[in-house]
Amino acid sequence: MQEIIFGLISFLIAVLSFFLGAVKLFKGKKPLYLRLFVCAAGCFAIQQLSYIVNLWCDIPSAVSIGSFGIFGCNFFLLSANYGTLDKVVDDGKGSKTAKIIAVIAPVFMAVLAAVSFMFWKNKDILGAWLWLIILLPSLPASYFNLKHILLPMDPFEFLRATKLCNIAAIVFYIVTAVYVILSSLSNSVVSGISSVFMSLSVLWLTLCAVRGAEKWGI
Amino acid sequence: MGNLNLILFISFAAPLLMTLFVCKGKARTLLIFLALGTVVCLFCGELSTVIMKMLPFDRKYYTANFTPLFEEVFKAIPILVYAFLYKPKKRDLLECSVLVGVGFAVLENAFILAGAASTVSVANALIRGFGAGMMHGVCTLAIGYGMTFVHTKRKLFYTGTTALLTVAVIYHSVYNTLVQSEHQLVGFILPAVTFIIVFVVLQGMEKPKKTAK
Repeated sequence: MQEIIFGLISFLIAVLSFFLGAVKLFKGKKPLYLRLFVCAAGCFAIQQLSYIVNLWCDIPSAVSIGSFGIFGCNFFLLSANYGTLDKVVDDGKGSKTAKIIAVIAPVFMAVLAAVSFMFWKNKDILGAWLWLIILLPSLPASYFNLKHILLPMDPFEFLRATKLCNIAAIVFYIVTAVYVILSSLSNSVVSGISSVFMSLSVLWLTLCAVRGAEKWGI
Repeated sequence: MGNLNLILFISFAAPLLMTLFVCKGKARTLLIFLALGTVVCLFCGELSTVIMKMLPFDRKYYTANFTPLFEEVFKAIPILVYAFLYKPKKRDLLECSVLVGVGFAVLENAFILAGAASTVSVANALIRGFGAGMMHGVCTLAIGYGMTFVHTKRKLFYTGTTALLTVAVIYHSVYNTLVQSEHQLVGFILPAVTFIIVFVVLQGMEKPKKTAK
């Protein structure tokens, strides 16, 4: 019962995030970069839906194909930064310092992924590998997020609009990794609360994208 | 009786194959993708049966977690080849994507309904027809949308298509889980609701363009 309640709260927050973003950013010519953040929220909402449906239909849901919603969500965030923004702001010449410092983010995420693997290994080895795969896209995604935070803002005024989005994305990766670690403890309250926090980080991500659209200068 | 799946496939694919000689241009392309959807369905059906026997999971868990993965990946292949080799227009690619899904749904419905011929009713056929049709259509449309970037934004194509494929697989998994449970009706309502949302969002995106013109 506790699992369903926490699952429903997380799902409702995720759906709210998606619709809020969709209403604000899918009207008019809003930047694709910001729309991809809303797509990430949508992907996360489907993951939460899958979790609830599995509980409702008595299908073991600790690790299911639905958990790959986090994988998809990370890929949408990677699409936003690597697929759309990076080629605009990085011509391959300047900003070497930003590129070097940005490596810290994937290293940190790799440590968190390794810790989650260690926690899950004792409980369920298949689950441990699946969660590792699910967390993997957050490594390159966090690199581009941090790189775009560190890049000098002067030549690209619209980078100001992306900074907060990138900070929110990094927070989301960390909260997700913590959720994976805590869900290995088999305590429905702990994993439920961390799931709600994960949804709240998605809501913040969407709000940042909406705010970013207002600031977007080009 | 021989393999029922193969019999049903032949009875659907043969008329389509003959029509290909009559139709030309865009109509032929669309028919090819409809036929390809049925081919993918037959292949996935047989492959799924073989793999299910090898894995230690029950049917319910398997169809909720593994079948969507195979089906969405294999449905994406004809669209991927078309997008890569023929550089179609965005609208053409999206239409072909939907038709792969619809072709798949047509044969899958036939497999399922023929398999339970003694218990099935017209209501079942209506629910299944619209539900599965819309679900497969929406899933392949999502993947097809990602592939429209294959020649214009290559980086976005790689990452975006993977993300959309993930969404399609999970959505398919949710549908499969619901239609196998006692909450079957919710499973059939889900694609209809999604279809309406997709339609409204697409309309919303089209309006500003028309106004701009």
